[in-house]
Amino acid sequence: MARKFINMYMDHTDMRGYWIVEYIDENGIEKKDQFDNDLDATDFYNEIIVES
Amino acid sequence: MGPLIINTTSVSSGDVFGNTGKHRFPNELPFGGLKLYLSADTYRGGPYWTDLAQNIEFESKNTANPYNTTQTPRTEIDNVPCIDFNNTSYWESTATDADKVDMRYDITLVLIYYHQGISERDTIFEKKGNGQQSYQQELACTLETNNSMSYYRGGSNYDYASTQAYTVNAWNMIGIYSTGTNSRVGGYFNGSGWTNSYNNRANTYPNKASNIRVGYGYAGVVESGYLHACCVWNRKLSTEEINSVYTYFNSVIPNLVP
Repeated sequence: MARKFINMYMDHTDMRGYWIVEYIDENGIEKKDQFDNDLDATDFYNEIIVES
Repeated sequence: MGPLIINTTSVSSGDVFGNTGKHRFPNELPFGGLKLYLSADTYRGGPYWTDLAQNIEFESKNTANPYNTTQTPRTEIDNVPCIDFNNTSYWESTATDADKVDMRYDITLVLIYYHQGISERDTIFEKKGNGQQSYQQELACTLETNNSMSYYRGGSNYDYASTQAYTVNAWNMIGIYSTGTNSRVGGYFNGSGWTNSYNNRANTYPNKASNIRVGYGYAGVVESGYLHACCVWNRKLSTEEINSVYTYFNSVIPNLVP
């Protein structure tokens, strides 16, 4: 099963400023991956969105 | 007493109008419950764009000071009046006026949008977050780089869904709805009426959000494309009615993709 993109946003909780990408993995499990910056998050987004 | 005649149409006491009313003509925009109708037909330029349903003024803004100097320009594509998203400016109502378009409960949203493709995801419609992020409250709609639109609402663990892929370099009708506390959402696909497509995680009505934004939101400002109209109803339109919405806009945009 292809991964499916849900959402991407900056997590402002506790002023952390991390980027979060939510998606559904190959097993149908909802996941939240954390990235230090928007460029890394965008690279991961670009991988997943073409599979969606 | 004789019948009431409006133009050449006889209106009987059995006809129902209002929030739950049914429209009378198949080529007419359904007016019952129409709470927002931004139309480029009536925008002539300048920093304010006024909606036709409740005279709500939207102010042109951009993401840096000064906030009102580079409006999305008015133009025409295929002879259709529209505003041109320019990666800089967007439209925003006041928070007070946004309360007149309460989207916590049942809703229908329709965008008449000329899609040119985008290189990064951008939010095309949202009600600004008020204590939570916009996608956790009334509604946030984001254009994705695979030419679909994702949309979110509900609560901290928000609901989500995606539309079909839209046709690039063409006018598209984007239609979505949501009903009930399960925030069930669905889209208008290929002229076949509503299709259910949602992932339900929240089971309460959303908290009240703030300003209405068109062309900007949590994922950034829309970089390209054109908008002819943006409509919000405070109910789910029936299949007949959403098909009529398409017929209505298709009458002025012959190549409108449903």
